[in-house]
Amino acid sequence: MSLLHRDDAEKPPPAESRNGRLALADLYDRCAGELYRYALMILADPAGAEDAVHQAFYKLLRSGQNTPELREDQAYLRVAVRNECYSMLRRGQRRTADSLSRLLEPHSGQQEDADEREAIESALRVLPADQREVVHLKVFEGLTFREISGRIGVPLNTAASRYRYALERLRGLLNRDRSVYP
Amino acid sequence: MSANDDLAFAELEGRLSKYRPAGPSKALRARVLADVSPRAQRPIGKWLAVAALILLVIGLQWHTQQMDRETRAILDARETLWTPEAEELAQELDGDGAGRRYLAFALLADRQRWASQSSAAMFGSPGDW
Repeated sequence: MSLLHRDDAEKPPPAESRNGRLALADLYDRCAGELYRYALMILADPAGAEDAVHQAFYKLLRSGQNTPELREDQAYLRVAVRNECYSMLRRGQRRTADSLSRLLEPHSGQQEDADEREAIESALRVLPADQREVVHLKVFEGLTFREISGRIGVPLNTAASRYRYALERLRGLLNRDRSVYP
Repeated sequence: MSANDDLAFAELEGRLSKYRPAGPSKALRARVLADVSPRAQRPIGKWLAVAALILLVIGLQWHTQQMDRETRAILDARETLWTPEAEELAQELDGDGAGRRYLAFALLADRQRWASQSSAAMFGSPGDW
């Protein structure tokens, strides 16, 4: 079970609008948090992540793909958000990384170590988008490499090596920070 | 990957998993839901543009038909007015020169008067609009 889905799974079944389709508000409340976090980790840009999520919902509405099946909508939105993020990166639309914008937050009820969080955020910003994406899917969404490879459409070995490169890079960056600020 | 790497990666994963990516702002919800407001669902502007285009095409067709009708009326009048009697009159007035020009002028004036009378009968005078 994904860490991010835990809260959503406890919610009651979604209400349906008069024409049988999922009400957008319900769909948003169930999916937007996860989608935004996914986009945020790919782009490392909060404003860009909001744009990507907005675009994905907009495309869902305009495409008429909105179905009563929550799972289908989630899958559609996830693909749409990912496509939008990489399109933005290709077009160079991502805003200059703002070192003050927060990428991470502690889990509810956990004490925050601001210095550690900022160090991890800075290290994550240095990673390429595709490596940050794999870190997100593995660490924050708790997917297996097989699930990740299916989700992002790369061979299993590629997903695993991408994750390993990301962790090596993160470890190097965090160790360097630790030596500078012991 | 060595055992040390595994250990270090496990520690790093532990550090990372103490956090999660930050959530969206509340403004995003309003922004997304604005797309399904009744105004957004009914693209009135698009239909207005289509209706305006249809009206424009109908108007242009009507105007073209009117112009065509008037042109035909004028042509018909020219054929009707320049009769053998008119030719004879032109000859009587001064043969091929001044008499023919005078008659042509008279016929033109007559034709214009006839056209304005026929269009007034068809559409009414501007004051009637």
